[in-house]
Amino acid sequence: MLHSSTKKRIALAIAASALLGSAFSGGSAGADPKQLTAFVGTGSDTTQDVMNALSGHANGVNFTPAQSSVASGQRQLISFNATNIGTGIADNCITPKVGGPSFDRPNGSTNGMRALSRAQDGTGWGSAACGGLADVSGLVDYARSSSGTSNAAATDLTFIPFGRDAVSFAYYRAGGAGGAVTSLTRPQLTSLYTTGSLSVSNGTENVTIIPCGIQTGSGTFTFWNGVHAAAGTENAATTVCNLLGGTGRIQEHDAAGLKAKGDLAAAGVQVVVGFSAANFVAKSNGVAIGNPATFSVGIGSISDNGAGVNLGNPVTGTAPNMLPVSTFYSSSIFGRDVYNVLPTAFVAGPGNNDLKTLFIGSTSGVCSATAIVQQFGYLSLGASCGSTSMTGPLRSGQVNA
Amino acid sequence: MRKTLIRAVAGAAVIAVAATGLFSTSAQALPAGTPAAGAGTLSPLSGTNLSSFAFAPPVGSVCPGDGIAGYRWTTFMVAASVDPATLTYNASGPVSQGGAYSLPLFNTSGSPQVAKTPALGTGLLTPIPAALDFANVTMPVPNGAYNIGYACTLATAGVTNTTKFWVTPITITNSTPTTFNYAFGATPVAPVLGGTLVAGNQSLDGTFTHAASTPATTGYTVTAVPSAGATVTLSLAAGATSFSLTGLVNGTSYAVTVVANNSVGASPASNTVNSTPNPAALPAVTNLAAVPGTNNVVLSWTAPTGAAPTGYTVAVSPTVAGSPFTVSSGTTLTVAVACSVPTSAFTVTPTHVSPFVGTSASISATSNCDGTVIQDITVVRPAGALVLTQRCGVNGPLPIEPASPGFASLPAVIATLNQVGTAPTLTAGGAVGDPQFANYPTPNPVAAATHCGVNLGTGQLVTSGPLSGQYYTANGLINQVTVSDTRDTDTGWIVNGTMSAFTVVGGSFSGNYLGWSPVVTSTSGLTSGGYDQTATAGATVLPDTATGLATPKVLASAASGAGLGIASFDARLKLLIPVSARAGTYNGTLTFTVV
Repeated sequence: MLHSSTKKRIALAIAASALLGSAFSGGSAGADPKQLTAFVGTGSDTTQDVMNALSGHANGVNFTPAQSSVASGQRQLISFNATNIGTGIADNCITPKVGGPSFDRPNGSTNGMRALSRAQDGTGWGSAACGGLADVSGLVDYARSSSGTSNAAATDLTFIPFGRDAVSFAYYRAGGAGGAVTSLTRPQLTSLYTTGSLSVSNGTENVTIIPCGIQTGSGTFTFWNGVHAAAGTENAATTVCNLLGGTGRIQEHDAAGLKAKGDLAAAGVQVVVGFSAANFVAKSNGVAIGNPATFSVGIGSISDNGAGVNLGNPVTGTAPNMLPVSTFYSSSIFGRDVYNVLPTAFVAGPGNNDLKTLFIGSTSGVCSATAIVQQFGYLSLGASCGSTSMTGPLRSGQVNA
Repeated sequence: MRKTLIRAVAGAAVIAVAATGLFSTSAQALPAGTPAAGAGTLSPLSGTNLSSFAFAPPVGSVCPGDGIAGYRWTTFMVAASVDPATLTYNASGPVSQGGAYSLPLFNTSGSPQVAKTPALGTGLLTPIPAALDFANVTMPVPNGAYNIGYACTLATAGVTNTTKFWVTPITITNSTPTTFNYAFGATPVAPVLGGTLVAGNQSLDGTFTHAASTPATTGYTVTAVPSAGATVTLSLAAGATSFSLTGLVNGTSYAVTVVANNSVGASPASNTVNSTPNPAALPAVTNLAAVPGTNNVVLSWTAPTGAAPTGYTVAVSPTVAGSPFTVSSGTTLTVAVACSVPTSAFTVTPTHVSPFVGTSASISATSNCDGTVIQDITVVRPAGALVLTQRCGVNGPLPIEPASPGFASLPAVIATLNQVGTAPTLTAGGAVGDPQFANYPTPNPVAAATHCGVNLGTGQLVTSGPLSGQYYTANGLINQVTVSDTRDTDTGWIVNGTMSAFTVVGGSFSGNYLGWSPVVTSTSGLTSGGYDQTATAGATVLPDTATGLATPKVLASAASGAGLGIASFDARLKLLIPVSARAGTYNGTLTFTVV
């Protein structure tokens, strides 16, 4: 995994190396590090850890990086986290390619696709915080997205799935008796996100549960709205939690953030937030930063998917051997594919064999790395991994708007 | 990288061309879009869709700014009909214009070379891919001319425009759904053939122009397609701009075109010029003469030099019976022409064995009628002259002179022909008592009085009016002046008079104190004999300190086309003598000129 300041230093080091290489070897690419030509991705918080791993390193652990075919030059990936992991500040600057400008780090699936779209339409991306609107043409190659698209009529972007995730509610409760409520039904979630609170017995006492909001650029935010089916009232329902500590919505999959909110709530009040099960597994197993257990955050079970089916808990086992539960992940409501989003012009156009052999098809570099994908809590998609059947429009908008 | 190099070498070996080509460009290109300067390199110069090739812009090529400034460098391959300067780009490469072929170039790994960031600070295009190929282009690639190159781009308001580019042509041939051949460069453009050809005996000569091509034009082929018969071709070396087709059939029309060739192929044919080879016309007859006879004209001539004609053709205009006549022997012909025909034109043309033709010669004549005799009269009309004379002591009638400052009204004056007058004070030659001029109207330079006198008497003090006490006045008449104009040019004339200062020993006053009132006493007017005269008297000039006769004033004039004839003029003189002038007898000269 590479994060902000580290990556900026690497980019500059690569630049220096490239210039020296040009001077002494006529520009031979053989001496250049693979990162120099690696494809740049930004966007989803949900999939940032697994994409870091597929880039070769995540959270202190080295992985075999995914590569394009030998014939296409064995090109690799680099992936910028949704936020600066050192500061947790969303709007910091990244310089993903040598010789290119710095620009605002896209935070979340939506912003990742926005930046990718701005690289496609040439209208620029960025804010004054990072030097103003920058031409990002050629600087962003793919976007991480934890959600798909329903606008199949537009074909500008292709959503290429590479793993199966599920989303349930993460919970934290400080004080009170009997612990947290660990299982809810989908109707209870709907009620929770409609009214803003819910009283549910934990077997010992009735527990007041309040929902917290996920930052809205997140694909998980979009997906979770579909799960609780109360998107229209979500903002009002999460206001109480969002105001706790004055920190607003929680970065997705941020157990520490959820705990902070819960600690500021009245004693015995339980806070919940949508949380990627895959992230929960990865973080619990230590391949991603932010072990939920450290913050006493758990992931809840769904006893009724809204159609009377008990999905149970999305994860099983004990860290560091926690595993996803396929029955939960298979749910059409709570399960979801996660995607890397590429310009359709690259996917369907001539050439680009490097991008294609990295992302497209079940034998692509990314889809072949099933061990890594599963280690980060995702189920492999098998033959459907790398499909190019889902397309959507360019995503309008600017930095974290 | 090793694989890249191997592929590049292998590609060169397969097509057995290892040469390094230069693609040249001309002027700097910002922003309207001529290519940037410099010579890039490419190798090999031809191959197939499976070949790899090296293609680089000129060493040190830079964009106007670096990547941080928003510049990118990109490759392109577009139809030759597309001006690379007008290309816009998206993330996938050049945007197609009107559906024209448009793709980036791909390295041998299949990666499109698009949206690359120029080097920090310098804007240098780097890293240039070591090898490119066509393995990833969209097939089929239609046969035709294309341009490939590198471009610097800059996005403005969502449109990524070309700011600078390096380009070289490439030609695709033998295109199939899966294969094609390429050759860098393009076939030449069509030459432009001059609008007319010079026809000669079995030959046609012509000139053409042609724009330079890349690769260079190796030669030209001139083709002459006859209306019937065998096509004639002629090969020309590079640099040729003219040709001479020989061995053609006289009298047969040929459609002539020129094609330019280079190593890529042949250009389209030039414009077609049709022409018929024929020998130049042979000389005309000489000494052509036409002697009028009674109701006929006798023509005679001398046979032309050079090839002997087989005969002559004589045409008459207005035509007469039998015209045109054929003269198969001899060099004379008597043509019956009625004497009522004012003038007839006779054209004699030698006839030769085809395709040779003779040059015509013409003469005009009029036949005579019966009983006519002729005498030729010669006479000379002189150039004529414009002559100015005067008669001393002569004046014509003058009307009542109106009063003017210092002067009371003066009575009318009757004509005086006493020819006595007043003797001049001095003659041109200094003699006293110039003889009177008695030979009017014909000037006789010897007898003509060039010098008459006018005595204005003694001045009378002005005793009334605003000038009272300031001047003495005197008045009189000029001696009659006559202009005789017989010039054939009839350009008109002007008679001016100028008064010198009046002087006395130890004193003087200006000629401006003299004024006059001119009249036309007589004029030829318009006569049937040819006079066309309209003479006009000059304006009255009053004595004045500034506008009197010290500067030339018009006595009389005639306009161009109205001067021929004889006219005489008189004028009343009025003089003011300032009381400041010292006493004495003043003398001055009133000089008349005619121009």
